[in-house]
Amino acid sequence: MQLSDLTRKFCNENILFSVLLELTYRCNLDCTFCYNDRSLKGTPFRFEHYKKLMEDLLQMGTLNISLSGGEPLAHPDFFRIGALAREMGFVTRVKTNGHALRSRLLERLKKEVDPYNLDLSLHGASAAVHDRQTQVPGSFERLMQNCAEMKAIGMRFRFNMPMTRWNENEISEVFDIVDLFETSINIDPVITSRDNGDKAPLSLSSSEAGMMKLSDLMGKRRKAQALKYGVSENTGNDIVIPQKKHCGSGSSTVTVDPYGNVYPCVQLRRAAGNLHKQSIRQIWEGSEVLDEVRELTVRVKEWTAEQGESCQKIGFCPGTALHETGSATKLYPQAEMRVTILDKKSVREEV
Amino acid sequence: MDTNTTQYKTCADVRFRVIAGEGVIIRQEIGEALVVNEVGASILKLLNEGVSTSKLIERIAQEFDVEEERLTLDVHRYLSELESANVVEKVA
Repeated sequence: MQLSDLTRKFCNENILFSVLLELTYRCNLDCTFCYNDRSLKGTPFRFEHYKKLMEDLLQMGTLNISLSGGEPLAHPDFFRIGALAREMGFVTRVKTNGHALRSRLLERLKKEVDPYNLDLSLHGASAAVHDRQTQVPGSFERLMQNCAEMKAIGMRFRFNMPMTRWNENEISEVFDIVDLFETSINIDPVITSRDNGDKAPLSLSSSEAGMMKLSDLMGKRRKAQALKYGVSENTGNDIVIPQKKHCGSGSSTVTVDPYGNVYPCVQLRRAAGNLHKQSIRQIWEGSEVLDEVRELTVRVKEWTAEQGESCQKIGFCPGTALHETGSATKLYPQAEMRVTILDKKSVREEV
Repeated sequence: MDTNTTQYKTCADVRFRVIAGEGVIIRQEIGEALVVNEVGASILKLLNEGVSTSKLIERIAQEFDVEEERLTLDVHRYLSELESANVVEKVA
């Protein structure tokens, strides 16, 4: 059996496979479109709370832990938490802006946490654009220097880039950076409102032309990679487990905020419980919110199928839909734009 | 060297979990994921508990009710495969 089949099985059977821990909303950068609600209040989660949580997750068979933020390194117990995750045998990812990760701190991270991967935030291919988005002069140059250092010591990393109106004209050059470091990138073309409902970041959403360009470039890269590495074919003997749900939100994943609130995923911010009051197992097995979300993801899968092929290909997010439109089965503006682009491309290919 | 007293452990970059009866092995260095069946998962679980090969064979024979002579051959072959794949290494 392949891991991809197994993850579908985990999703179908509600097995908690991956947990995202938002350690803190503090950050050393100040990205214009950051979605975190920095006004959120509560009792902060400390090392002893994370220790108890990880012990419970170990019992539940969870494998993946992502340390996120804000900037996770800004949490006072980051290294203790990361080292404990390593000791307990979790596959640990760190979602970081990479600004502080150099020399001794970088070596310490490699030695004590040994993450499976770093997800580094990249916001453009030039200082002018990247620094404009982070609002910290010099942050682009420093990230590039830090990446070179990471590469030199064998730290595995890839890039994450939210696509905006400001960086959409640099996508081609962004791919050059990705190739320079021989890594990969996840470009998210959807900018969302802040978690507190503030819609200001939406003004930075990428344009239809930008999304079209991204779609063309991605297509070309996929073709080039298929020629380079060959495309694996299903032998016909492989077991393929069908996924009953649209995504793993609340079915194989949860997100925990800095105050112990548990959400189905990073986008769907309906609190299923609080870890100061209940254990993760109690929340996982007893939360009505999680039950509702699990049913919802089944309905969303059926709904996207009804909308057609383009809707199934755009990576529709029910959490974003709920946040932006009030319904998990309604196209939000950026999803609508992407469906239109795919439909146009499909017509173009037919012609 | 008595192969039955040899002790193995998972390599430092390997992460392993038994989830819903399936063994998931992640080799961090090369970003590879392997899935092993129930018996394979039990063997790795016992190795992680620091059990020697002979004890491991004894425990697996009890757990899965299989003939020990045949199992010994299979376990040695399996451990050798895992060692070649850099999933396990001999404890010095």
